[in-house]
Amino acid sequence: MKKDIDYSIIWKYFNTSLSTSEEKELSDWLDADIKHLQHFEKLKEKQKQIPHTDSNISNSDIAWQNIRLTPKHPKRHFWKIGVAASILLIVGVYSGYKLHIEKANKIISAENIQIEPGVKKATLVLNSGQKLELESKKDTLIKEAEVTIENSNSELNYKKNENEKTPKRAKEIQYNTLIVPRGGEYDLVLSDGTEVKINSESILRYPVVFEKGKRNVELIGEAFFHVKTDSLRPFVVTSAEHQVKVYGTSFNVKSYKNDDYIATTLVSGKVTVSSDKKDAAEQLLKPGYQSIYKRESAEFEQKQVDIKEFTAWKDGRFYFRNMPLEEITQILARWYDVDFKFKNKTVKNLTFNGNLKRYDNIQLILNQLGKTNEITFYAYDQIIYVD
Amino acid sequence: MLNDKLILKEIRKGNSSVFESVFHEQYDSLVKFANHFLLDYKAAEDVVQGTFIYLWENSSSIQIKSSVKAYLYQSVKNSSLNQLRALKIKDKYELQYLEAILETADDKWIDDEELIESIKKALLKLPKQMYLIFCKKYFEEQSIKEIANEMSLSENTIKVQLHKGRNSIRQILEMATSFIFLF
Repeated sequence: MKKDIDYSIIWKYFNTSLSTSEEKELSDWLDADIKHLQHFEKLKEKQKQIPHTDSNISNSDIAWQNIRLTPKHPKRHFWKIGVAASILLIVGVYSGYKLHIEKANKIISAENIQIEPGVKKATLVLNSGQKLELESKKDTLIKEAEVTIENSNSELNYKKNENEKTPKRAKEIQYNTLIVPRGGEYDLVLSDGTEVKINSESILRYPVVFEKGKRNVELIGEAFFHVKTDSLRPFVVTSAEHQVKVYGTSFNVKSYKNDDYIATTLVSGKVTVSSDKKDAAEQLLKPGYQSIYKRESAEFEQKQVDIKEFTAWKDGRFYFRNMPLEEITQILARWYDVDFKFKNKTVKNLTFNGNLKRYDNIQLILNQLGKTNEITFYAYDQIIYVD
Repeated sequence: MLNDKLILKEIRKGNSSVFESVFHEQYDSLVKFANHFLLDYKAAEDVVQGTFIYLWENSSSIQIKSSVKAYLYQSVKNSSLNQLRALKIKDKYELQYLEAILETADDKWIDDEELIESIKKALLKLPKQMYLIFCKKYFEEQSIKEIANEMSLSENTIKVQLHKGRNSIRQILEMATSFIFLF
């Protein structure tokens, strides 16, 4: 269990200075969860504003309509989508579970858990630090010195400017960062034509234009790469101390911070994996194989896998093969942006097979999982419980 | 303007027009106040609406010392801090509360002793060094230049802004804090 941070440390960061131990505390907190980082970024933004210049104006008339409709059974934002109040009233009482509920929190039984799947959304951080929220149906075009960045149809595309000759003198490399939140995914085409599909709760940092001799990107989270062949410039994906090096191929990297391993699954071509923590030579991976890097021991393992299981997400599917329920809930949590808790720890290790649609409402997924009768789901206070 | 005791009494009786007028009067500043904690307008509005609903439905059992306004701020603060707990943030010194209040407070506040009292208390809880910087930032003119430099804005812009913010509640607190300085 990670510790809470006191706001005074964040405040000191902006207003005075931090001691070494406070700095450590702050960076631990930031590393613990991408949501922490996102909140911190918002705090940073806020520092730049002048007090009393809040531009958002709330409208108390509209708000009043919201609560006036049913003053005795107030409408609330459950699951971010409007669950009809009538459904909320069908409250399942679970055996042995004592109901002690405030008005706002009601137990919702499995058949009424409605959560929409993730959507295409991300935050683009430009080299200048400027931030852009990318959403579907909001196309933008950004002209930078070296590239034109086009965002259309939920795909971010980097195109090198034609007239821009590769300059003789070494210029400082311009980086962009794409932050995909929980409940999001995004497609990206880098300036060399490499296609990347980035999964929920992931961050990719990359140069807007690759320099001579190498193509380096950094990843936290999960992404599927289809690398444009360029035998002169290897493409390297770095996650902490772990590297995947390729010249042109398709593969999936999964490197979530809370996972104790980094998994690289190769679909086609050839890649090597290596770690800064390990002097041994790079390990070669063949198509259909997966490399598992254990963060703690810095050891690599390879095994033959059904690649569909690890890449189905990019084609809009969930593909589970003998997958423990705990792992399944982690995947669902990221995509549906919801938390799971196990009331009954023993069901964590039950394994499931399935091939389900990623763009379905979570209800359909939970129904399938619940069919075995070994588990039940219910929701309370925005958390789905597994029993 | 109805006095606080009367407002509470009417709400407890189920007088929805009194409730509605309190709602319209306080809603905007409460949302700004909550947003200072949550940095998310949607979430801030949810918290404030939830607080009003709770007040309406439980007015007879809720303990309210004197001021409905103080109760609303207190309870929006608590709900906001509860939500921040999910992000593993706590607010031991009530710093967020102080910032939020000083950035949302307006002259309507002066007659609310309960609120003023709670701000003074929070100020006194700050460790010395933080307290000094805090006062400098919020109560002293001299920082105009620094702020202007930092944000590359003209000093005049900032002066206008600060002046707007320099309402009576700040002056009251400034007096209170300079009094503390003497000891």
